[in-house]
Amino acid sequence: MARKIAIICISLLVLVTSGISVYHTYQVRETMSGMITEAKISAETGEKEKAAKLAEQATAYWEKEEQALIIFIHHTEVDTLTDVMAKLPSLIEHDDLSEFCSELDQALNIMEHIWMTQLPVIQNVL
Amino acid sequence: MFIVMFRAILLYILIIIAMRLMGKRQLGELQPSELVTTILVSNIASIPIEDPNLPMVLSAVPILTLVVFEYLMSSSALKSKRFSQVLSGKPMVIIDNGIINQKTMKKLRFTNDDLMESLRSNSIFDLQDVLYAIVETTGKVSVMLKYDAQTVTPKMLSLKGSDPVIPSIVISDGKVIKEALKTCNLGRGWLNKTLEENHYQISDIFLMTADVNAQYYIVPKQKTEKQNG
Repeated sequence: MARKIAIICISLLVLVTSGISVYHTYQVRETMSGMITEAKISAETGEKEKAAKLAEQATAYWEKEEQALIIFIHHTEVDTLTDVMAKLPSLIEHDDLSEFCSELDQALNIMEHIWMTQLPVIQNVL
Repeated sequence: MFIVMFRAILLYILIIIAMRLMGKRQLGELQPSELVTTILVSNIASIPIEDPNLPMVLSAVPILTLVVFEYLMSSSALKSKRFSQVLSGKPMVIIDNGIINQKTMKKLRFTNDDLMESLRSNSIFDLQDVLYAIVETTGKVSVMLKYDAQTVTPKMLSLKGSDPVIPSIVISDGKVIKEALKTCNLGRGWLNKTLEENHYQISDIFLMTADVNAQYYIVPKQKTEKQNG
């Protein structure tokens, strides 16, 4: 009986952990995508200050969430996005808007890739 | 370096828990499904130890999943004989009534050398002594000997006697094992009296066994000689 209870607890633990990892990645992806897209639009429309502020917010948010994501996502993927986010403040500071937008696009792609690899779909399973 | 060290310790604990949950089996007696689980668990556990970039959760979750799956499989096998046969196969008779079943041996890819080796491991050196040989689902060969090749037993000789009792260790390396004394229905008083009769102190004993009939065996500690100079 004790073994049965332990197995049920482990099953629940595995399911909850897996569920939380997918949900958390989804939330981070949604927030990051929103901030990055908004920063890109601001940069393209010449609102440099707003773009800088949004990029700063996105970087700060990422730095906070990164600590949670490394618990269940391959560190290399997380590190790549951290590198990209770290470049943003200096790019906007030196008025390199095209590079700034390009890095934002890259950040969006990496975030999307992280999210896609977490999805329990057949392509990922196989 | 510390990360790898801590991960190794944590995974060791996790695998011990996993193996305990899967139940007691000797490695050589694993069913096919248990063998698969054991191989997978050992491989999965080694990955995060080798690669610190990989989160340990990515290793812990599949290990726990395999434990749950193995439990479900073995529980289902217990309930359904058909499922059990699909999962583990069924025992195959390779010597039937003294005759080698060559067709079954071919099916199992069991060579003559394999057969002789299995018989030798059962302390049988003459094939003609075997009445039945069965390849179990674990790969182990069980053998039944012909009547004239069997070891003589008291039953065959119609001898009467009592069943033997298992002795328990009551003192190990100078320490009394209370549970063992209780199992043998013996008390501390009996132990002290026995030791006194034999001129021993508890601390002098390396090993002492006893059974329910108060039969005992004492191995005293070897005294180490002090070297001078």
